[in-house]
Amino acid sequence: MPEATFRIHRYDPERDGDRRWQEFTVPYESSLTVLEGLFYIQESLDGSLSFRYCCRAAVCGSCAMYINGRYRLACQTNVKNLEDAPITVEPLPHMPLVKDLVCDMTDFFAKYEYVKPYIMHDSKYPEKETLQSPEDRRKLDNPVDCILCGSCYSSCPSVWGEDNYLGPAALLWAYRFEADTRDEARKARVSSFDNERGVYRCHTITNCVEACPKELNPTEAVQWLKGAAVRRRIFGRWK
Amino acid sequence: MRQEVLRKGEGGVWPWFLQRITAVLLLYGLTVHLVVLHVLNIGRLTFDNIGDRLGSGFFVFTDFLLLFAVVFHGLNGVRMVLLDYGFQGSKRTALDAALVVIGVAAIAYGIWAFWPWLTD
Amino acid sequence: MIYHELIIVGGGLAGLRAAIEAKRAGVDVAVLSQVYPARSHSGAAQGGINSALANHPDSADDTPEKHTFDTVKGSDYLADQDAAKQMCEDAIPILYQMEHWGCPFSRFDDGRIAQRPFGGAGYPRTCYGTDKTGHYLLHTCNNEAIKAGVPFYTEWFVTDIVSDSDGRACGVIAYDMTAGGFEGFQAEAVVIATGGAGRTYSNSTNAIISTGFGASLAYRAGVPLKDMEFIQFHPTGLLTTNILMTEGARGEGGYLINGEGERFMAKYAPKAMELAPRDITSRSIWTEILEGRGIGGKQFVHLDLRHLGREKIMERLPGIRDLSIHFEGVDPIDEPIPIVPSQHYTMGGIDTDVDGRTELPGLFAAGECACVSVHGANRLGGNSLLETLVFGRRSGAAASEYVSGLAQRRRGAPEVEKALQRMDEKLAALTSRSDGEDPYAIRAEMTETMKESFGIYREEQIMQTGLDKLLALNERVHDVYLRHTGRVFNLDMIRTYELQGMVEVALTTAAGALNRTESRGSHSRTDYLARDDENWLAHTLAYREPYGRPRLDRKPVTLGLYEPQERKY
Ligand SMILES: Cc1cc2nc3c(=O)[nH]c(=O)nc-3n(C[C@H](O)[C@H](O)[C@H](O)COP(=O)(O)OP(=O)(O)OC[C@H]3O[C@@H](n4cnc5c(N)ncnc54)[C@H](O)[C@@H]3O)c2cc1C
Ligand code: HEM
Ligand code: SF4
Ligand code: FES
Repeated sequence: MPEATFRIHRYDPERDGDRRWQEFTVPYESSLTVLEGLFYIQESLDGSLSFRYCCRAAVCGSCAMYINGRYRLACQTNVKNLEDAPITVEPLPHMPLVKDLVCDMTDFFAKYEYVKPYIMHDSKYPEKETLQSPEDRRKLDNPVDCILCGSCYSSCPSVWGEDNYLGPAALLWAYRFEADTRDEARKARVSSFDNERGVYRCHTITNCVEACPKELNPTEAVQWLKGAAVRRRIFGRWK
Repeated sequence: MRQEVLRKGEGGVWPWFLQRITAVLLLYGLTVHLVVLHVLNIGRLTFDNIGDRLGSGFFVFTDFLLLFAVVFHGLNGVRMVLLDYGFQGSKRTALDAALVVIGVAAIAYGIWAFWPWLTD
Repeated sequence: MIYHELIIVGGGLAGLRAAIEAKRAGVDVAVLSQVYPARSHSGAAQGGINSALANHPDSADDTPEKHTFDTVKGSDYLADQDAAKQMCEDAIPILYQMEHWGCPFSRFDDGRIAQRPFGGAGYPRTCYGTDKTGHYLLHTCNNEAIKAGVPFYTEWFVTDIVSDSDGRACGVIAYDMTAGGFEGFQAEAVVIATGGAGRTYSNSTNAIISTGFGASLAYRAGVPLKDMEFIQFHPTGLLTTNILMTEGARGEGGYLINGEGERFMAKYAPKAMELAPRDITSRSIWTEILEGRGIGGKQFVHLDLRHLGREKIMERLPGIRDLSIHFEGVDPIDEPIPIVPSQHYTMGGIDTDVDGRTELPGLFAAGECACVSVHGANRLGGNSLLETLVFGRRSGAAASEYVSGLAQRRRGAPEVEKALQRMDEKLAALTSRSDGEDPYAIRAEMTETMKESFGIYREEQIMQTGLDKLLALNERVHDVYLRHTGRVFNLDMIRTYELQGMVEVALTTAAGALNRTESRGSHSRTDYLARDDENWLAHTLAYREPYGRPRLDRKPVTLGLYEPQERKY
């Protein structure tokens, strides 16, 4: 049976609170994802290991980690495809820690909720669906696939430097609703991100693009929002 | 952090927009500068030739554009960088004031340097 | 102790939809969820949600009645027909509401919500957003709940439901995973929306957190679980991981191919072919495999999409392609996908009426953990997302009404206090042991037993052995010990505690399956091949008996619209 060696970031606030590394060897049959490896360790080698999980199919965003120096979803990463050994597994960098591989996502979600990530609609709805052309729908292709995994947020130097910066994911979601033909929000949403702790904090570093395990492009969305802000001011066009 | 604690930033759109506009002007100005000085002007570098060029309307326009653009772009760029490093509140006001002073001085110096050819 | 008028356990589609309804009815409601709501398992749903919108060119004369008929027929006549009718009628407004809330459905050229054909349906009525419909719907409801101002208790794991001395649900006990500690919640009513029990099987398409533990909470509180023997096996799970390949892949025209290169569904469902209902399709695949016609004689067949072409795959099934590439190393544009029928859905669940009420006053349930029943013995693809929304909304409304109608409030604080204490004692007992049974060994034995003994084909002797094994495991599971006793994010504790509920839920499936001496829908017995309407046109109710085999009872099926007929596709 082949084996994989994992080098795992450990941190327990209830013990000494020190961060340390621990190595484990995990045997497997034909294929092993990093998440399966973590479960093996937790079940058979060290019951104290903590990590997040849910769907194990790359759709829920729970298991984003920093694996062998890259942002990846543990459930989607097969050890066969990792070149370096041992496999180094860290929580999302630059985030406050909870335990081991679990980081604190409170700020991340607070900022997400701050941009009012929902449709605002004042006029009366039609009796049936609001019509939307396939082309208009296609503008949403990129942001609606976001699984809120936090990789982009963790990778962004502007986030590291400013606690109040909304970060790529929240802004991607702001774009998702600004670009939606059905949305009628005016100042209500724009005021949350059209400022120096919102879009203008982005310096198109594009770490987020590289980090995103869903291959989305938050930077492009942010640039669109900046452009829309100018268009709005000069031509008075909201959409 | 809870949402209520999240501090909102202010402004930002015009500095961002003008940085881009001035970047375009810089592209234009620097292209003209490079083409004229380093391609067309090879072997014609005499005091009179340069003086004529600097006095012509087209170059007055381009050079002043470049002057304003470069000063704004450079200083605003520095400002953007410094704001990212926590220049907020009174520090920010001081920074803005300092940059305006530097900017005005730089432009005044530029005008002074061009002056002899403008008044010719 | 924390107080809210209404506590919703679970932040999946059902839980969120219930919470929004309650919040907008003016009730002080909160959602407790083991994961951030938008990470719930509902987000994994791919293919779509059924509603007779009649948008598809081939479905112009589709109606809720026809949808009801398909649902009832698909259920092998075990669905309660009034409930099915209710769901199919509510389907139309609820779909439009999801669209108005911003759900990014795929569109037809005329701008209307796109629909595709799905198994067991007479018309193409499955509305979809590419192959990520669940993800889009879940985010839509998550966001609408944010808009409505519903507070989330994220990463709180509920371990108990508390009833007061009058026999009303009056709160829950929950473990705050990130802060590390137990807390009592006092409430006037509780809605359970904790999803399915797929993980009681080792070959499930479900999320790792779909353990059925939530249903066990109600079960322990004295509420019966209904029809738990009906477990859906999805025809197309990826071979190595059981990750789902949506029925939409066949809806878009994908073929099922056996080791001899045939489209074998021609033998089993000549009209519907690959789009026969799931029970029939899964059995067909399994029969091919058992008779040696798997690919290379092995235990899998192929789902072939190659003839659809790159463009259609990229536009309609991009997620399927990604999953297949990442998890199986196969690009469906170039190669057929190896698939195997896998446990997929729990038709049974907490016994409720059409408004989510259970036998315990103040306790409501909705979504996959509940059984209304609209799916009967076999659920149609696209009907369960619908169920979560329709019955989530209804239970939210009914719970709000219940709460508003209460004469006395804030009762049951002493009971919540006591339950919290009991929890601490229980935990102390678990953590004080330094030796005992390994919970993960028990978990593995249980899930294997479920797969082997209560799978696609069932038979008396095998089931009896399986049930005995489960009963033994149910004893052993109380002698487990924890390797980790810390308080923060203690997976060892959560997963061990969860396991105790899972075994009990598995026992209800096992006992019900052994008891039901007929074949109906997904419950397919090799020793009782036929459906037996005379004796078995009835729901199974399983009541908890301390430490062991559940007590079984029956409940009549509500008919009234369609007389049971033989199912042919
Ligand atoms: C891969 C896959 C694809 C599917 N595709 C389709 C499809 O195309 N069409 C269709 O109609 N149906 C589909 N289904 C079925 C459908 O997705 C589910 O039935 C439905 O989403 C269940 O929703 P729910 O709200 O009941 O539960 P879930 O979405 O599972 O949510 C359960 C919630 O409960 C919480 N929870 C659980 N236990 C606890 C606890 N103890 N304490 C606190 N919180 C707890 C969880 O955190 C979660 O928030 C699919 C299912 C699977 C597995
Ligand atoms: C071809 C000429 C140039 C182009 C096209 C250009 C373009 C840009 C753009 C688009 C930005 C904005 C980046 C952002 O939004 O984060 C920028 C920033 C900046 N530019 Fe320029 N620029 C040019 C020349 C110059 C010159 C000559 C200077 C120096 C005087 C300069 C100094 C700066 C600085 C300091 C910044 C801020 C850096 C930052 O925001 O991270 N640029 N430039
Ligand atoms: S944009 Fe990508 S990296 Fe960022 S949260 Fe969404 S899925 Fe994760
Ligand atoms: S567990 Fe859901 S993305 Fe990995």
